[in-house]
Amino acid sequence: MALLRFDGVSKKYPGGHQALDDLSFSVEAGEMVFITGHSGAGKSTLLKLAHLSERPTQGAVWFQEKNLNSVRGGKVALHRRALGVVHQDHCLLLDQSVFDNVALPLLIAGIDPRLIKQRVHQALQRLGLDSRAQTLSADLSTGEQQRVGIARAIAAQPILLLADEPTGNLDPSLAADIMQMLVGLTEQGAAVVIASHDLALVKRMKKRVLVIDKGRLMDDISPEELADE
Amino acid sequence: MNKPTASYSAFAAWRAQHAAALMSSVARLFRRPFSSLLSLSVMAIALSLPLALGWSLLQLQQLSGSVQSSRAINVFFQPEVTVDQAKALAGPLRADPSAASVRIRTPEEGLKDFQNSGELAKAVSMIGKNPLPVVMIIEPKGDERALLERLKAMPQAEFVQHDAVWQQRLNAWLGFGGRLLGLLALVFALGAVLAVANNVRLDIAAREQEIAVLQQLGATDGYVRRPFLYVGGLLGLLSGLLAVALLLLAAHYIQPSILALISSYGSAFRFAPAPVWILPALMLGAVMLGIIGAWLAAGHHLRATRPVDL
Repeated sequence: MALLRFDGVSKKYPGGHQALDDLSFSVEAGEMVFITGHSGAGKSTLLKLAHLSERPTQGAVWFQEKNLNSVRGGKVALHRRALGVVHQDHCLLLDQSVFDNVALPLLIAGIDPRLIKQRVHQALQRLGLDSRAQTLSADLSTGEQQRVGIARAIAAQPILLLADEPTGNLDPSLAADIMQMLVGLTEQGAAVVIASHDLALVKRMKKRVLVIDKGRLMDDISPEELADE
Repeated sequence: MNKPTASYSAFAAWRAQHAAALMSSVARLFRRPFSSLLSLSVMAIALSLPLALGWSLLQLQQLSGSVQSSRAINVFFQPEVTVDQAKALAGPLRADPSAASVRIRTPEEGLKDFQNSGELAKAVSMIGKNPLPVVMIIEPKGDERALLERLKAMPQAEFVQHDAVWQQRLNAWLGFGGRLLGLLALVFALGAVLAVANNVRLDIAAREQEIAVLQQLGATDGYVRRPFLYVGGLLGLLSGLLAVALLLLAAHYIQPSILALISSYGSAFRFAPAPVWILPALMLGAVMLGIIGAWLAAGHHLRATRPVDL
């Protein structure tokens, strides 16, 4: 059973820009998928559709066999709670501490404060940020802010993690560490979808790759094919 | 996936979220002290003006109540009419359907009243012989005009006093005042709502990015709105308290001069205390107005920023 499925999805923005064009693919639970393509190829739009920040113009996005077109109103928020999202621009609350930022999705979900503390510290430890827990997010470097964004996404223990250029501001060795951590998430059963134009990283990871160009799916490369290359 | 654990009930989560929203709203009020103080003052003034009018009306009603007897018709008999003769004249009137009650006030009773009424007591004590006549006091029932004409036609009557017109006018003014108070309360309540809405709108504008992040992470409209509702409620509560303080201060300042004015007329009038329910009702009303203002501002923002098809 596919965890996430795009079924003939097209997205045309009001200005007339065709971001996605008849896109179909599916992602299984426990799978890691890279979405690659040039800037403007439609990678971010694809993630937004799965996150319900946008709606498709045509076709349907299915999550856990549920058509997201039918998810409306307050249910949109509930859908988002099942996801972890790493934004390209981090989307942190800069006037709040690292701890508070990472705890935010757990607070929203109404998790027990003791459990929140435990999960946040675990996530910060995994990203090497535990000593910075009480630091204001505004006082962090861009790379550290990126790591806080990742910690926030994994602390929520999502079923599906959507990441938009998650290692864009990180040095190669740290990027590799974080990728290994995301692989660890897939081993626990979560699916990870990463939009990235860092081809070197994508090739190194040897995971499934979807190549998008002008909103169309150009190639769907399996890990085995990448390994052969 | 993030679900409250079994040992941590949905109610406990709800309570924790409300506590967090309350703390955050207090912080928000202090983060922009000038703007908060401005909204607080505007709202307090908007609440205190109809309150002051209401209090004045209450005192006027008290005054009106104390002159209720002026609806009665007083027949002052000629000096030679005795108490017994007056009682005999009152007999047939008691059976009259237009008279609710008839009683006789003897000259002695009248003198006693004068002796008990402020500055007049000194003047009365200087008079040797009681100059007061027997008075018949009739409480009319229904339209008293025919009764009044009959009493005036009595040969024993020296003078017939009836202040119903004055009373009717006062009642009409009180009725008008009551309606004006209702209208003013409505207008000022709207002003208070707008003051809070504006404060919350500014708060929302300053935290637009934070709201967007919360929504990205799965916050419902209720979750986003909650701290702003607390801000509105707190502004309402504090402005209600400020309005009461302003009113007490004004009453303290103005009361001695009013009492001096009233006592110069020899009246024993005392200020009516405000009903006990007024303070909790005012506080509840102020909090509700604050919440409504915040709800409007937050609701407008949520509607304006939500993509049409979500």
